[in-house]
Amino acid sequence: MRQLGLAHLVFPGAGYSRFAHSVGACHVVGMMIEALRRNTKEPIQDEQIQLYRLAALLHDVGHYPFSHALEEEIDNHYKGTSFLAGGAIRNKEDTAIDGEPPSYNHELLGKRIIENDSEIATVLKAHNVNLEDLKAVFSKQDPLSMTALISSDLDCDRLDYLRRTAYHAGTPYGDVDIGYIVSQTTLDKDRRVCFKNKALKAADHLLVSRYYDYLQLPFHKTVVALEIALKEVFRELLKLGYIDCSSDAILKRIKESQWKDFDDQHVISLFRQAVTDPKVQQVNGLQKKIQSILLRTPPKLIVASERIDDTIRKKDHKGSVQQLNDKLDSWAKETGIDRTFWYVWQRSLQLTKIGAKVPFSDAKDLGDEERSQLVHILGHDTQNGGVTSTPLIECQNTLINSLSEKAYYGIRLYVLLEGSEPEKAAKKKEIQRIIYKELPDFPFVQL
Amino acid sequence: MLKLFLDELGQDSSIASMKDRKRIQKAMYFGNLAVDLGYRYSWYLMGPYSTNLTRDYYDLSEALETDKIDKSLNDNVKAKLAQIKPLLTPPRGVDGVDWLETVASVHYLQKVSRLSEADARARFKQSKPQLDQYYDAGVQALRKFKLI
Repeated sequence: MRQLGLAHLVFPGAGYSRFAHSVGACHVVGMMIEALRRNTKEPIQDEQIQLYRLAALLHDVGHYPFSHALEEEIDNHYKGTSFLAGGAIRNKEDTAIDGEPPSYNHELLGKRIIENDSEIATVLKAHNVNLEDLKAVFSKQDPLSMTALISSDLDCDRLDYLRRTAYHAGTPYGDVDIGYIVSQTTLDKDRRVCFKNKALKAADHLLVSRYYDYLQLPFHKTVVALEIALKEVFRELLKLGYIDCSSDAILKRIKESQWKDFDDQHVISLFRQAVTDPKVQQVNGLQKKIQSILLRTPPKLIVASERIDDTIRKKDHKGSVQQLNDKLDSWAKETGIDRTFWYVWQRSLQLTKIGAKVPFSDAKDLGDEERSQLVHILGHDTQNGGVTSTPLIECQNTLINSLSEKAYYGIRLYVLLEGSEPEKAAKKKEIQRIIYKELPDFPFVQL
Repeated sequence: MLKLFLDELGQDSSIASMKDRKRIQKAMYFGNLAVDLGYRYSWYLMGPYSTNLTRDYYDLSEALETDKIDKSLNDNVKAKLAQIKPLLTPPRGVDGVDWLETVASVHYLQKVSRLSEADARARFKQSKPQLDQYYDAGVQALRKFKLI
């Protein structure tokens, strides 16, 4: 499975696998704990290091093919049918401790794989690894665990991902000083994972780089277009029952050692079957949307608005999005292009949140659990003894701190067009003419 | 979906303050126990916490600024949430959020971390000394609801 979904259709080198990334995360967490041991004299046993390395190696094992696109649609579909009025009632009496939700998110799915996959069980047994100990680290359920190494805003996952993506995609934005940051891993007096003050600039650079990486890659206009089409296709195929991603079906796959076959290729094969299926052809526009992925003819970007502005300008952004949405029906009618092929994409994200695992852009009024997810920098000795740490975004001498009141606002209109490239280009110009005439004051950018 | 659950549990969706967010975390801990939405909790420095839930309530907060909710939960789900809802009401004189934090933490330490009663008590006292006075009441309430 590819780490970056369909991004390789835009950045041909960006096809590295989740496996490669997982091996990288395993290596990084091992280095982080070794550094922690050196920097703190913390009595961490070799067995403990191995558990964290294993947890990092397996941290993405629960990802579906095409990852977040499919997972979001699965979540909406199964929760909707199970919990909402008008859906099928789920008669299972399982609890959230021992039982199954209607569908899995990738974290819970990862846990189920570790618990039930026979191949993994064989390997763990052969190397005397206790499954419950591994689960405790993997699921972050151990009260004394160093959770942040596996899951925080500067964890082994993020440290591997940025450099690996920069290298494979050929974009320089994620080329950060990982080795140095890792070497400065330590603990504060509350046993919170943090980094020595010397790593402040490198960590600051990493968080800023994350913003550029996201803008260039996941937010790339064609990557976004492909993802839009992908989500629509998943949504409809789930409704049709073409793919069964209920927790029951997935658990069955795992227990029958078929989870490893549910990969990108399996999904693409499904798409190839579906595109000629009469059931699929009856759903308005679905065949064309599937073909747009298989033939790499995604929706075209027609118009866009993009700016960096103060976070308080969010209301303006929402107003602009609504303005576009309100016009779609009439533009579809005027151009003769079915409404199902029109998409408005929008993002309004504080710069410090872009690419962040955590939704907080500043540390004001955060609880202890929330603060623990932020990147922390080791501070100074307190009068009571012991050294505290501070969230990086609170440090006045960092760029990320000065960006915390700024947000990225992006709005794009995509339309899935038909015909040859010259025909599409002509149609795009026609649509643009209509839009620019009707919305002369809209803050469009030059494409 | 989260908004519908919170409404059914009698919880405001506001996340304006840290206390609000803690309230939602701990209330949803029990809502999720009753009807599994797939949230899984970990023990962070000070108690059970779900990062997925955090992302969802921030998304909800954004969505509520523009989107209307035109869906409702089915009767089966409503019935299950109604059963757990009384547990979320604090005893007289106890702050609501303190109560939620107490019962959620006691349950987590005993049922998820699978600590013995003595170890769970010790761990609770170490990480939440300010709530230790409510520990026994929390255990009683959880037993009443057959959760421990």
